[in-house]
Amino acid sequence: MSDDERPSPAAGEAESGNAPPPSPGVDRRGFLHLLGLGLGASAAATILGAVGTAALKTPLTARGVGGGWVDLGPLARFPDGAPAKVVAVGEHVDAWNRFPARSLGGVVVVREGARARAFSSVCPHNGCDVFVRSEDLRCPCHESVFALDGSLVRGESPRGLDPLEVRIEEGRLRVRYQRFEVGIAERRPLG
Amino acid sequence: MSGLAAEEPPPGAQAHTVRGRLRRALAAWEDATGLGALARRFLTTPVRPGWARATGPALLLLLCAQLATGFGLALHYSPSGTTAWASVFYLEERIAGGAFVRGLHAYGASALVALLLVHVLAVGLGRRYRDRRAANWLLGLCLLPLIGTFALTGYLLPWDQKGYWATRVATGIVRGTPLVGEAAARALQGGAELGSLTLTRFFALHAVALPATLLLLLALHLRVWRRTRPDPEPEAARPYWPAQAARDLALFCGLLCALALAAHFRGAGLEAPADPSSDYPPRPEWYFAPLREVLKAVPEPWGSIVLPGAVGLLLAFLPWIDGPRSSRPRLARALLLLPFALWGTLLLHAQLADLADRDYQAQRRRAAEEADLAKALAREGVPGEGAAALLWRYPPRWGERLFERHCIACHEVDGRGGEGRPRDSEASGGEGGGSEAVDGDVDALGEGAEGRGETAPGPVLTGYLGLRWLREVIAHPESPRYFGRVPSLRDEMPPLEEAFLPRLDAIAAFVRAQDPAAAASLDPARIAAGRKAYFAAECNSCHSLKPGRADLGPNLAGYGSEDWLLRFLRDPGHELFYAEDNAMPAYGDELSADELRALVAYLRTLDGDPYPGDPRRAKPRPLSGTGLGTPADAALGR
Repeated sequence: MSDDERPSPAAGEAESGNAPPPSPGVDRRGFLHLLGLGLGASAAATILGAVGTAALKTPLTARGVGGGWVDLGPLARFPDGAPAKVVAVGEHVDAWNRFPARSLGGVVVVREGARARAFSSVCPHNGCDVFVRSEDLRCPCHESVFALDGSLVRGESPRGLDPLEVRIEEGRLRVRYQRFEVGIAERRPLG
Repeated sequence: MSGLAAEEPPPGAQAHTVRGRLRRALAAWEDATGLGALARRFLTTPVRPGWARATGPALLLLLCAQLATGFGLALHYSPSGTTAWASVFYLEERIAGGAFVRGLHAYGASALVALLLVHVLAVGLGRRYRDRRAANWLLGLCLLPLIGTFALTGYLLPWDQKGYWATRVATGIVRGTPLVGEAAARALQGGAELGSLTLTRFFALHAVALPATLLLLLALHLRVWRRTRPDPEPEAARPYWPAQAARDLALFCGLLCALALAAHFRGAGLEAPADPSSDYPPRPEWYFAPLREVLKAVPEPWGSIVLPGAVGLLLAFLPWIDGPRSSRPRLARALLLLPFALWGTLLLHAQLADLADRDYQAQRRRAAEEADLAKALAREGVPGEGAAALLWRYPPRWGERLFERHCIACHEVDGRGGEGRPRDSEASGGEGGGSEAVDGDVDALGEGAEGRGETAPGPVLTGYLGLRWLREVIAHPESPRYFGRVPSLRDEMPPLEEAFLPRLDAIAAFVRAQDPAAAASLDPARIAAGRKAYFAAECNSCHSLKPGRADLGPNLAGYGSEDWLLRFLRDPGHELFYAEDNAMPAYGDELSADELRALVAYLRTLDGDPYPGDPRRAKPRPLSGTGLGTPADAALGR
């Protein structure tokens, strides 16, 4: 209980006064000292290493969502000239669960007649989902605004919206759905 | 120990009575643990009573309350992407007192942050960071990020839209940190994306690692407080109990009352299950809202790391700015109040900006509707596929997705689609075929679409099955908006004779009434008139109303009903429907029975009628087979 009191200078001196006098056993004592430290440190390192590995190794190397081609349906579903946000549906694996057909994320499609552009709807700033307005795309989080060609109009996003590769086959629009790292100017796919 | 000796019974007295034995057992326990003496020493500590000193103890009591309510939540919580929302919903609606405990915990977190800020302010303005107490000032400041992490990890756990999107932003902010951002975000998330592994991780942090760290930090904080606090002036000093303890408990109980009221009358709230693509407008908890204002205007990492870090450092150096060698109380007060004033101003600005933001208000209303729908669906039981399936598999929405995938190329709806079907080579059943890989070169701007318009489009379905749509189709089936688009049908059905045009409304009502579900809402007299006209105009010579009878045109027995539409979609070329004139693909093999039902549910809402299976209108069915005859069930029946 004395540790709740203010430390008195006398207590420390009394402690050192009790120490055994130097003896020929000092080498042995030094060895035990090192052994104790070594055993303690290696035990701690083993446990922390095991927990740390389990906690970090897999997450740091895990692959992100997407990368495959996703059918967004007939091009006809998209209004000509106006942006539309649709859901990319595909197989989604979340840890131990596999969902054969689930939303992978949003895709903004801007159709111009027989051609189309597609962007990931993930805002490259902090990863929110942009929403579609008639003239532009706006992020609800920190109010970055993007033009219909994906370029940044205003806001703090470090880059424009991420374009997705597009194919139009037999009148159907396919995109290669991908996610990208956010918060950086470089466009780097996840995974 | 000296206090203990005074309470020991006189030797021999009552030695063999029950009371005497109890007394001796207690004395032995006290001798072994010394807890009584510790408590006595603590309760008799001389202090100078004051309300400004009540924040610390009230904070401690609030933390204890959070531990207790947190345990109550953990009893019912299941951290995974499929179960988290469902378990919180179940706790809210099916566990007696569950919503109240969750409300206490959620509002308790807010109160904790608020009280912690007041505590920092009270200690700072009282200059209780000076001299030997600098170490404890620093330890106390460590509580700020720790409580912040508590709040952040707890926010995600319900796995609803609010928590999911706020965490997407939080991990996005971490990702924006130079050099270590991506690795740190992945370490936090447990993977490349938010998911089940994020939930297990956040739960382990929130319920195990953070409480343990907090308790250690608090023990140290209290110990250092005792060792470094100056003795109060003897004339003002009182024992802690009861003078100061009463103030502490009064503050805590006042807060608890406010929490209980908020928990009872408002509840913690639960948004719709997390959806990785939606127009949900994410907002952080109020105490992080000022940070969001900063992020709107300042690029990372200046807004996310440098500015909060600078404020933290400024507070940390307060004991040296206003230290023993250089007493600057006014500067210290200004430095302390400045960040708080800035924080308060930004908080107000955030609220006002949201109130003025129409996009935001519309999205909030929509989010509230989504939450209502998800909860109404969940009352009938959350499918094993997970809470996200509640809205994902909600028939009208599922059907709309299927329509946009399979039907819209030929059938215009609301001004979109109807451009003609490409060569029929799509064999991707349902929605699942979307992720198959396609080889070949790709351009940022796709081109091609040579197959477009190869097949003539079918009828426009805007307002399908509505009386107006029926009127137009019956009057002018040859119109290019309807069957005129299909050459083989163009000449099969003539326009309605002019003599019958005044009775068009009645005929449309009669045709619509072939669907028993729609008949109930139509005027019986008009249906009867329509029936007469139907036969007078000899509609029935081609469109039989007898079930199973094949004529020149589609059989209309039960037309527009779920059953009729299902049979039609499975095989439009059946002799009961378009037979050899058919130009529409059969979907019986391409879509599953559930998908067909969903598609029909969607088609039947095109006339503007609400989906009859909407659980917000129907009476909820109680979960059967779970033995849940609780009062909560009765309360659910709206």
